[in-house]
Amino acid sequence: MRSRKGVLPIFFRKKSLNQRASTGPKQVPLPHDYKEISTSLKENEAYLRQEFANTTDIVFREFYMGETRCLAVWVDGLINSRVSHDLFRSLMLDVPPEVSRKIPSRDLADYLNRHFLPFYSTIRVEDMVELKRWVLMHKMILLVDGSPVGLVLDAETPPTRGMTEPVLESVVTGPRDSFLEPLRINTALIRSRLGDIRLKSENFIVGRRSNTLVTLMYVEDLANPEIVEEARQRLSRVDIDGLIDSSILKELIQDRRYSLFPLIKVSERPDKVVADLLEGRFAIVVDGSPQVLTAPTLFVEFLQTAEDYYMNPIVVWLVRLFRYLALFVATNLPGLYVAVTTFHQEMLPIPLVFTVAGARETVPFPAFIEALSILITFELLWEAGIRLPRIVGGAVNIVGALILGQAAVQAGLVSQAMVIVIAATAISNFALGSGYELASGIRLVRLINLVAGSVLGLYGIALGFLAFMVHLTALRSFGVPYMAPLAPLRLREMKDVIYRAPWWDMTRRPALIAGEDLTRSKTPPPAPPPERPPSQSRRK
Amino acid sequence: MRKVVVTLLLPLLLVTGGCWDQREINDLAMVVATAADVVHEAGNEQVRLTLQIANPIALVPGQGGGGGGGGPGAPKAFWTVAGTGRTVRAASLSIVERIPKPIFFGQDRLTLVGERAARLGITPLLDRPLRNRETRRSMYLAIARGEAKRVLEVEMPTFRATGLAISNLFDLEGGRQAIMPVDFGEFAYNLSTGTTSPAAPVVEVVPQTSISAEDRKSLGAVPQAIKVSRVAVFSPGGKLVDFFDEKETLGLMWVLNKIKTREIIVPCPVEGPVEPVVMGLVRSKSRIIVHLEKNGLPSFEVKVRTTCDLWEHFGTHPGLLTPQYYESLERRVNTSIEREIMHTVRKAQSLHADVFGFGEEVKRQHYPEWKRMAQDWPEIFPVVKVTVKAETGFRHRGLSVEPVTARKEHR
Repeated sequence: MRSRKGVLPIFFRKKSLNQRASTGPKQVPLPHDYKEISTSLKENEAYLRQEFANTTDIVFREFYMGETRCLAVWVDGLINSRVSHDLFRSLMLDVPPEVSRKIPSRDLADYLNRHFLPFYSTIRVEDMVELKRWVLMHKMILLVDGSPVGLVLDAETPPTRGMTEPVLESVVTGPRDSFLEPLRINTALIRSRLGDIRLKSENFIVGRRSNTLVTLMYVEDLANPEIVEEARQRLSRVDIDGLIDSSILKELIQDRRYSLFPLIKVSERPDKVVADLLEGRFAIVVDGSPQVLTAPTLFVEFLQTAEDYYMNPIVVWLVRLFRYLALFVATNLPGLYVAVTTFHQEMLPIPLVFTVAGARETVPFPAFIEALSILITFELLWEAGIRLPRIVGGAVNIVGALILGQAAVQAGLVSQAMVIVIAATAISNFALGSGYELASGIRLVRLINLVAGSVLGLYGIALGFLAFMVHLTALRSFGVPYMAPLAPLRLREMKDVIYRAPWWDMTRRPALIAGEDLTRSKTPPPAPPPERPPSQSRRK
Repeated sequence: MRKVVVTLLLPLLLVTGGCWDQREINDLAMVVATAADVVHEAGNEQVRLTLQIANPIALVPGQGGGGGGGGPGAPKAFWTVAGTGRTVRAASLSIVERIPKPIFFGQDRLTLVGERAARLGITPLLDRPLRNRETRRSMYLAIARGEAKRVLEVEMPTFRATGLAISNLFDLEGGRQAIMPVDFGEFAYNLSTGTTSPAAPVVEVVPQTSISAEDRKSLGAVPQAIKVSRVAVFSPGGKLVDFFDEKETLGLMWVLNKIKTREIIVPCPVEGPVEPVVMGLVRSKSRIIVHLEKNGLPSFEVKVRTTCDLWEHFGTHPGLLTPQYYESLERRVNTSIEREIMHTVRKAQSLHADVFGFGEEVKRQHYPEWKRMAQDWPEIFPVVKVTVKAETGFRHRGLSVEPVTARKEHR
């Protein structure tokens, strides 16, 4: 394990980890109670009916297999009706009557499981409480009179929509499928791209009431075992009533209570998650959420897009430069503009200074108020654009464009220069790459910079920059420095930061994240075939 | 909790200290050019400061000015205001009373000093701009023939402010012909050496060379224009001594490395001065080498290396194909350069004005000896031996070879 022993203890806060672990992780999966399944179906049924009293969406189907009484229980609407139909056909019509006579009733359920249940998967359960829970986790259960065993039948068809293209992370080239709400589909999308037996998945049931299935996925020899263990610990520490979306889980398990910057990446693209798994990260899939979490996360990742890896690397280098420029503009431009026009008027070249001063001549507000009011208008438009139903959206656009672009300038309330500055800022805000979370976090950075710039000028901007740098470099994502490989500087891993190295050159995985196997590629660089001596036949 | 409170309160601390020097950009009277004169007023010498101030609203298309102050009645883009006082600062204070906005010198591009003020001594006029943190040392300095105020009052048809026009001219055409831009810091530095005679370009108000018939009718007098050329030479003490003419200025510019490009007219190697050849200077670099003579006096060797193109051959004869022709041209350019420089050297020595900074060169190259002679430099400079060595490389002769008629004769 190379020099990790030397470097990592600084970044992994082992001490505080142990302290937290001592509060006692909840045993996952639940249940805590245990109740043996009785041989008497009547007793079992009574128990279940009592437990599920006053629930109209649970189906109790009683039927006879030959002479033996059976009971199937499931949640209406979550079970594939064709498959359940098969079950009843097989048990009620296809089972020869002598079976129930020949087989002792104790073993009948197991016998049926082996011979007469045409399902992908069944689980044999001896605990009544667990069996009850499976009903709530979209499964069908089967009880046979005389057998102290319950069968869990996987006939799940959760309500879902069809495959769609990614909404937030769209690309021109590259795969176009995106995650959906059901967990099984999402894990399948990942597994279908990564057919490695060492891709492991572990199940957790999170949510005391919601019983949400959460799957932790990682490639065993690529992921750093310490980081995976940390992830397990944090997942088992979660004790909440319901887990509605992966973003909630993200907030519960990230390294800090508060941070402006996303410490865990959220993605709706299977190809991105697979790429992260191959870099030694782990993924957390939450049932009911079309976004998968991956971590440890670095700041620079939010300035990358999936397409960066499919496009010409030379073009990507240029595009990434623009993204870093966009980051600078989105965070600093309004503050810088106010600072320069109110403190450092001598910095502007002569033609520009007259243009700015002339444009501001009719504006009744100080530059700071001017900038703030347009920024707030922009934020309101942004928010309105997201929230409003699509039918009304057009109206907002028209009003926004008219108010901002035309009326305000013509009325002399804001200057053209300021509108251009804020427009450039707004555009840059969305040109950041794949980081919608970063884009929304940056809004606050921008406001703080604006205040700092208008109070202290360039000095204030520099102070603000310094403060954010201190914050950023102090952040960790599952113990990995957030600003790596910039701080700590790791030149060998700069191949995917400012530029993206061609694939044949990306030979190693990021050492701060990945575990043992750091070799990513051994492909020789592309080269023309060796020159052959001119053949005889050609000379003719 | 206390941490949170402190964190929230800390930024407020910044607000208490900040903002005090905040000024909105449109609340400033932006000075683009300053003219300083010394006038005899109310019984004693007074400084008269003239400021050229921008009126930005007239400079923005589509606002206020309707095209930027073109039509009659539209607000003027620049205006001048003058004030007098015992000192420069006092003069600008008297202006403060007359304009509604605080004066801002951060965009000042040009300082003009009137001839009379320069003759009386320029040093006191330089103090305020050098001491003030708004004013930039990279602004240009020029000496006005006559009153400096008159220069800023000239209305130019193409350029809205004379001050900006002059600084533009220095930016774009400095180093061509006898236009030698000198910035404020450079001038002040030369003055501070105590031995070098600073030189500054000269601005003159001249009548326009050509005006339309319509204008001639409507305007009574011939409109005025600006001419920038030549330099004014100061004594090491900061008093205007003399003006160089164009030829002397060009010689100075060779030595000071101020030439960017220019024409050098030499007589044709074949036909002589009847058919002059115009050589175009592409690059030039000069160096001053100081030698110490046996008698303890320094002697100076000015080395000029240039590259020239053939720009114009004003003649009819053939013969431009031979290498000898170009070698001869190079020799003629060399001679021309050497003559120009020597001419200036003799003029400077007769004025006792070390415009080249020869003294500084001795200081740099032979510091121990310089300490001995620094005191006597004003007496030494007029008698030092100066040699000039020019070395010209010919680059190319343009698109054509022989004069057009010459080609016909060959056929």
